This record gives sequence, C-alpha cells and structure tokens, in this order.
Amino acid sequence: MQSQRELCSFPIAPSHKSKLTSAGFLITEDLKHLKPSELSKETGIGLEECLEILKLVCSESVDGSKRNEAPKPAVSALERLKEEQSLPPIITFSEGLDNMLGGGVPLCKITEFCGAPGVGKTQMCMQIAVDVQIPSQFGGLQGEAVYIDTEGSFIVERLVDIAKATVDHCNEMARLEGFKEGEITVESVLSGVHFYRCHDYVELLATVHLLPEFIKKHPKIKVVLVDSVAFHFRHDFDDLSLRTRLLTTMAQSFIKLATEFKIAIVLTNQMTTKFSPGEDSRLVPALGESWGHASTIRVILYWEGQKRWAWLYKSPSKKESRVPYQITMGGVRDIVTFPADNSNDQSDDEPSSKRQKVS
Amino acid sequence: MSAVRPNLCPQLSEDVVSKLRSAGVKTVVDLIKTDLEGLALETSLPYKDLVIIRRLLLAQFSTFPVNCSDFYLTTIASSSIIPTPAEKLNELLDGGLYTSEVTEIAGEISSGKTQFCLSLCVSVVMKARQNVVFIDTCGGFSADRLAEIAESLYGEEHLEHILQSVKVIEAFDIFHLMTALQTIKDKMVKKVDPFYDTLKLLVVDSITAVIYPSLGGQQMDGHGLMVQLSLKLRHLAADFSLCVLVVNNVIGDGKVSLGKTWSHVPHCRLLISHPKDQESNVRELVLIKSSRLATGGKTKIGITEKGIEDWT
Repeated sequence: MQSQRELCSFPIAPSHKSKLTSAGFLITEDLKHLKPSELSKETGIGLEECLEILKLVCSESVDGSKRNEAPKPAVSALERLKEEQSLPPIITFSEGLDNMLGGGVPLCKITEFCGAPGVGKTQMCMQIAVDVQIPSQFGGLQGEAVYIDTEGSFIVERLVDIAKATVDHCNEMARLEGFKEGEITVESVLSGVHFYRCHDYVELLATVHLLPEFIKKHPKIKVVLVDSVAFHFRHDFDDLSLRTRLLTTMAQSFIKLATEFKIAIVLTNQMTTKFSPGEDSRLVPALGESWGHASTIRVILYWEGQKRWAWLYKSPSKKESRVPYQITMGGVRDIVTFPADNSNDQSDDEPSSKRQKVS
Repeated sequence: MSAVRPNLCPQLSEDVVSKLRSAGVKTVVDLIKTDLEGLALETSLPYKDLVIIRRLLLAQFSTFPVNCSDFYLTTIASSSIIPTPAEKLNELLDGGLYTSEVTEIAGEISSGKTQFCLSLCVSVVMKARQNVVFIDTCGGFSADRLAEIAESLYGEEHLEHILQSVKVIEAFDIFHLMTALQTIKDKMVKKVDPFYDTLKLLVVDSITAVIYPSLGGQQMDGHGLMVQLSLKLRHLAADFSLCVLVVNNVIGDGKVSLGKTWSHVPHCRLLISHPKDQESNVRELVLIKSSRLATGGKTKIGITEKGIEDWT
C-alpha cells in the first residue's frame, strides 16, 4: 500500500493550500482519479492551476524519481567515493594550498576565501579562473569560468598577467614532455572567462538564478567565482532577517548548482571586527554566523608580519591547518624558504621554477 | 482527518457523498461536527443512516487505548541503543543514541557536527550491523572522509561493506527533503529494497540549511513547513524504530538556531563546541536536553583520522 503524504508538504502556493484544505483535500489519496475540472469546481482554484497541482501530486505519488525536479535517488557512499575520486580538483599553483585542500579547489562544493582587503582574494579568484582552463594533458580540467564581480575590483590587465604566466608554464611543460605547444593561449584563456558585473544585490540574485541556463549553454564551465559575495549585503539592509533569508536561499542555489553541473563554486568574503565583552576585538568573516554554515570549505587569508597565510578553517574532509603563500607577478605561488628539492615529480616543482622566472 | 469519500464505510455510496457535499459536509470532521437532524432534513437522507455513518467513522478514525504493560514489552522489543564511538559519550547518553528518538547535534561553524555524523555512520554499520541513510542538504557529506574513518578503524577489508551500507540523498530545499523522507517511508512500508529493512540511522545534515530560507518575514508558510517537517521526522522515528539524527546551527553565544518551536522537536539535544584553551582537535559535548537523563553533563572528545573518540 502506498503511504499517504500530506498535500501541505508539496510546493503549492499557500493560498491554494488553504483552499484545498477547506475543501477537504488533505492527502495525496484525496486527489487520485480526479480531473482538473472536478478539482477546480470543488475548490474554486483556476483550471490551469488545478492541472499543475494534479501533475505535481500524482506524478510524485506514483514514483518519487519520475519528476524532473525530484531529488536524485539515494546512492551508496561507495558510489559517491568513486564519483568524488573521478572529479579532479582545480589546482591553485600553490602546492601548499593544494595539499591543504586535498589537491586543490574541489568540484561539487562551495569554497569560500575570506580575508582583509589586499590579502589576495581577487588574485586567488583570477588564478582559479585561469587554472581551470589548463588543458587536460597537463592534468588540468580544460574548462571555462564564470566570474561574477560585485566590487568592481576585477582588472582585466591583471588577468592577462596571470594568463601569460600560466600559458608560458604550460608551453614549457609541453616542450619538456614533447606535447604540442600552443594548446592554450592568452586569447583562449581570456575568452574562456565569462564575466558578469553586478551592481547591487538584486542583480547578483538574478544572475545566480539565471546561471543554470547559462551553464547548460556553456557545458565547459567548471567554476563559478563570486568576488565578493559580501559587498552588496553589507550595506543598506534594515531587515536583517530578510538578509539572512536571501543569503541562505542563495547558498542553497549555489550548492544545487555545484552538484547538478559538477562544478566548483568559489566565493570570497570580507572580514569584519567582532567585539565581545571581556575579550579583545578580533577580525571574523563578514555576513554573520548563519552564513558561515553555508560554505562547505572556508579558507581564511591573513597577514602575519610580511607573510600571507591561508588557514583552512572549515572542511568536512581535511584537518584544520595553515600554509604561507605569496602573490607574484604570475599569480598565487608557494613561498620557497629552503632550496626546492628537485624531486622528479614534474608538477610539484613547476610552480616554484615559474615564480623564479617571472619575478 | 480525511475527506468524506465513497467507500470510506459501506453506507457511504457515491450518491450519499454527493448529497453530503452539496450540504457543505466535505471532511470527516465536518460530518462529526454538524447537527445530524438538520443534516438529515437538508440532504433528505435517513437520520438513522447518518448516525451509523458517524459511528463507523468515529470508530475508524479514533485511536485505541494500549495497555502500558504491552506497550512496555513492544518498546523493549523494538528499541535499541546505538553506541557512539566514544565510551564516555555513551555514558553521558546512557548507552548511546536511542531509536524512536530524534537526536540533535548543534554547534558553531567547523565545530565538528559533520564529523560526529560521519563517525556515527561507521559505528552503526560496524557495531550495530545496520544501515544508514544520510540526507545531505548543504554539500557537507564527504565520502572521502567517511572512507578515511572506516579504513583507519576497521581496515581495508571492511571498507567496501561500510561504504555500501551508507546511502546518500541530496536534497537542497525543504520540498525535496520532504519528498526524500516520503520515499524512505514508502520503501520501508513496501519492503522491496532489502537495504531499508535494516535501516537504523537517518542523518539530516543540516536541517537549518533547508528551513532558514523560508523562515521569518511576513510569510507564515515557512513556519508551517518547519512544523510539518518535524512531524515527519518524529513519525519516521517512532513508526519504524529509527534513530533520527539532525544537525542544527549555533549562532551568537551558544544560541541554537530555529527558535523555540523547533527546540521542542528533538528528544535529545547535544551541543558541540571547541573549548578555547584546548588543542584545535578537541571538542566539548554538552547534553542540554534529554527526556531520560539529567541535563548539563559534559564530556570531551577528540577528532582524529579515526573520527571522534574519547579525549583524556
């Protein structure tokens, strides 16, 4: 026997729900074998809406997985593990940072970089936007990037710098490995970054809503970067509960996007000062604590003396840890404090050699 | 409560139902509330028939008293206790997590809530030999980490079995979560999938992520959905002797999210936090709500590659 589901647990408009309830339609069984015209007569809801309701309820009660929007069926953790292992992460060109994150910025997850102004959040985003396009023979994803800029801090000349360094690096690798050169050019990198400029939070929310369509048209997209998610939400909000709702809704749209298209979501966040009685004030990521739960992985970027550090603050799979990094002409790199030991692992010592060449 | 439908009881024929409906009697409750004499006059149905229908419906829709001694025996027979991997935590919880109960773990950002859930998954599979469904609402499930915990505790030979005994469902909004819960219920009722016959633990990580987007503001719908969801979780726990573990957030100074209404939902609430003066992988667990035990008890756990374990 099919067990009953209450109609109010379906995504039906509240006004329709109350009409259904007062007409005595409470569970899925009540709507079975009913024609839209009959339902419309009983409840006073328009004919087309009745058809929608019946479609929604009846297709669901036959088999939960038949509807387009139904959640994906349960998969075992073993399948999930295989899936996770088959998705290569996006490298950042800083080996320390990659190791800390478990190989790089993972797909199907939301990664948030938080930091004070000037610590390198935007640089990190540009680096990732370029790195996602590394051709597959060099171990890259050969993808494209969506870059959503809210602050107006995106400087295309800087992207050209980073792209140049990456292209040079790839060509050098191609020479060493005997691959064909010119698989990746500065032009191809630039045309693989889809740039959006959002001037207020409404534009940002609208863009996020339209992204699924855009990604369907551009299936090569492997990363969506938002720099920064905080900017528009930090001013002109009188209603804080509205802000929380908008932010959490956006977070759920992001994670849906990430898993549906198997892409990485990278967000940046600003820092704010937190005062608590009896303690020194300290810098914490902005947007409040309920937002903090939204990202799957949170990395805090900070200065200590002359060094930049990345601190893995939250991750479901990796331990909390810290690594130093630096930003060079060519982008985000490791800091090499001791003579780099020339292990035979090609990709490992490449970033450092690159750094030396550029800087 | 249900609509008045034909064949609900023998006296309710199509004809009678349509007459009742035209008199404004649409649900069973309507029929019980209305004055039968007036209804008999209005519908020209025999008064006697209406009385019989009402009596039958009352019998059909009412619940029956259960002898407490029988109830106790069935409870003992059907309930079990799922031990956590940490012994001291088990002492705090009087053995572990109880089936037929909703247990909540609440904590701040990166306080180890997901680690607690993943650890418990492994523990249920290996110690209780039962299955787990993990509903992931915010992308926090990491099969990689689950495999790490399983392998470091039980070695590679059990890895595949453990991973196959945990099923993951992704649901990123409240309606998908409801559909997922309904699907689980259907599968347990129908008994077609052997996996669900030995299902013992249902994890929802996290409940806040799906409720927050619709809560607050002028719309009261969100609040209703939250209550609906809580009912579903409690019914699942009670009807199928499941242990339901939900994850909630903590914001501000130890304030658990979702407010007062939700605070009545879990039978047992654990608060997980990172004591400031301790090492970075040490967490403190405080029992702040329980229907069986004294509250306020605390214990320390450590988070390592083996998941959670006692900290001494």
